Amino acid sequence: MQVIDMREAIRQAIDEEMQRDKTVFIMGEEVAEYNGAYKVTKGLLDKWGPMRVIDTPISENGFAGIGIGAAMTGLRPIVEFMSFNFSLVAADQIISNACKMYYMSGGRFSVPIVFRGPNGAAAQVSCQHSHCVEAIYGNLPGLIIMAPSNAYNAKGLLKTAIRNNNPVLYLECELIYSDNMEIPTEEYLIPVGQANIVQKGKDITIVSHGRMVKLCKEACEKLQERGIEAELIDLQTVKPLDMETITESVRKTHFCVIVEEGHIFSGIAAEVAFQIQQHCLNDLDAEIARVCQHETPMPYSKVLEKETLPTVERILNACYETLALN
Amino acid sequence: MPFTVYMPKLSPTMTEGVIAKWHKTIGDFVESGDVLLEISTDKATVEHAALDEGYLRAIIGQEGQKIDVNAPLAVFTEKPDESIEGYKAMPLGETPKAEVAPVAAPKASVPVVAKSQSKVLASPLAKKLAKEKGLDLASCTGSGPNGRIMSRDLAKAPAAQVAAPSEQMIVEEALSPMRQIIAQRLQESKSTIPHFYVRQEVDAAPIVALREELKRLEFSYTINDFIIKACAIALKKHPEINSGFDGKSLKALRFSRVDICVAVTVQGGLITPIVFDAAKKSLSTISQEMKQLASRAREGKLQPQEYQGGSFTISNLGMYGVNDMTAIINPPQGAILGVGAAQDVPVVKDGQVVPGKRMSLTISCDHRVIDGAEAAQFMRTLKQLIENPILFLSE
Repeated sequence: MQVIDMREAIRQAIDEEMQRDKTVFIMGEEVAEYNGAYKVTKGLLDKWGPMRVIDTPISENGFAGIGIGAAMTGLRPIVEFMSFNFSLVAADQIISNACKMYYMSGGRFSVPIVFRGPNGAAAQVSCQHSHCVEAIYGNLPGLIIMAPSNAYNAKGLLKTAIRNNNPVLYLECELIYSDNMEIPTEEYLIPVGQANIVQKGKDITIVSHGRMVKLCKEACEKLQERGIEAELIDLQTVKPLDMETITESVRKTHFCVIVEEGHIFSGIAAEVAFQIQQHCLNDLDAEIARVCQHETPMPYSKVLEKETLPTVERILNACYETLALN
Repeated sequence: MPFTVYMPKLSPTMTEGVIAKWHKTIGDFVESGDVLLEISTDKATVEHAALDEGYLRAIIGQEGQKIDVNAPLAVFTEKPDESIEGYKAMPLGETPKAEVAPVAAPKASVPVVAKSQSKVLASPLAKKLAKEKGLDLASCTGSGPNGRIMSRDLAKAPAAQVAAPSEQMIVEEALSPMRQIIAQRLQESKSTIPHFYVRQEVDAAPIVALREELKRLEFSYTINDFIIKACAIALKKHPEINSGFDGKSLKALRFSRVDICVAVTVQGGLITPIVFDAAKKSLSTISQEMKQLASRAREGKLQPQEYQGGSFTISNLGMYGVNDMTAIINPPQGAILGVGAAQDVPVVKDGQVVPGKRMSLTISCDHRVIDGAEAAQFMRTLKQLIENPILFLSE
């Protein structure tokens, strides 16, 4: 076992997959000489050289396109966005090429590419650098979307993503890069579309993904103090959804709260809630509740930023309201 | 100015009434003294006339609906085209408050309908479980928002019914004022009065023969008329049976007059109109009074003084052919007589089995005021009278 942070877990995944498969390479702004804007690619240039660790100009649409072309012609690129908000510049490449190429070429061109980088809010980077993109991209058939929440699943998921023959959006979060965790030194993979039951419980199901899982864990502890045993499910893969794990839990607890960092309207939580009612309406004892980002661009103000995002308090209130305990 | 008509207080004990029938519809001009509606109270249905003239504009209490005394029944205006928009029909003696439903102006003469009874609010899971387990959701108290029943509330529900092989549907029915009174009075009677019963079989052949004879002479009497007459004479002779008991003061009540209540089946229950001072009335008077009382009872038109009081009650189920019947005392009276049918049975006469006509009489007595021997003596007198109706003439 080893105790490492999430940043290191991602680095290890990239490094191990580069070791395992010579077609794997990484490309993006500041990934090489600067060792990565968030130091995720630290030491990779020294180890693998400039042919496989490539700095790009500030031109997301360009290097995303290069990556997609490379993937179509036999390589396995990892393209880093300094923020997933910048992926919007490359939206045409991602939406019109990466996720549709296999279909449009009649199955002749797979696009085994991983787009990775921090998603959502950091600390006071304002609305153009804080958006959560999973709801936008979730609407597109052909993309796999992963959202690691800790070092363990960050490594296992990324290795799976790199080996997958479909385009994968791998959404990290700046605020948890430094969170430490004990993980195995031996190789392991986490399959696509498999949620993780972070903690078992019988009273209420909380579904979340990414950094929000951390807040949910805190909320679960507070609920425990009141004798409420919450079952916390970390989606790990946002698309495709592991509805089997979710519905099994809801059938047991009869109550559900979904926590999402992104905006509430037509978000991932809306999709999860829809599918829950579709599969287990008659197992529900109350409406499904959502705790999401409020309907506003992210404010720059530190105070407002905090209030705009889900908080432990909001999660707890949603649980109490759902359970009709107050 | 719009004005409101309220549920009247038709008797000293009336707290609410059921609207039996509206005689006027929205838009009608109602003159003072016109019958506006019929109201059912605990025992009678009474016509209620308008006091003030006006145009009926909104009906708040619908037929079949139970309305508290002094609560609004309808809204009138003095002129036909006057607006009642915003006019609030308040219960008498209350000042306007926000929660009172305003009377909407009837568009195309749509009556103002009171809120229909709320349906049971339950979560999908609670509904599913209730169906599986055969639980009655209406009997549960919900702990969710707006009192919504959740699965945990089912767990707290007392004595869950086990699902029957075929689904048992229970419809909960609100009691009519009459049934409420019956339920309340008889439950009180049966649970507080120490009843005892004395049964006597009597030879009914003489009164049956007498009835036939009178019929031939074009006098129509019922068996019950003879029973009332016989009881009247017997009660006069046994004042200890023509008694009652006051459960509150713990005092015996001695009635000076023989006032016999006779149970009459009516729509939705029964009522006991009284043959007053029966001991002083001839068989024909009793018979005529009884006919009239029974028919008025069935129409729901009895006045309270016609059924309130009495010193003794007769409940006759003989017309249904039953062997006998044991009745519940009608307090504060001390006794009630249950009467079965006059039946053809083999009887032993002088050592021989011969055809006979027998009738079973059962008296229920309040042991607090009547003893067994007294009841037995009364029954012996009653038997003697019924078997020898010629004695009716001796009174």
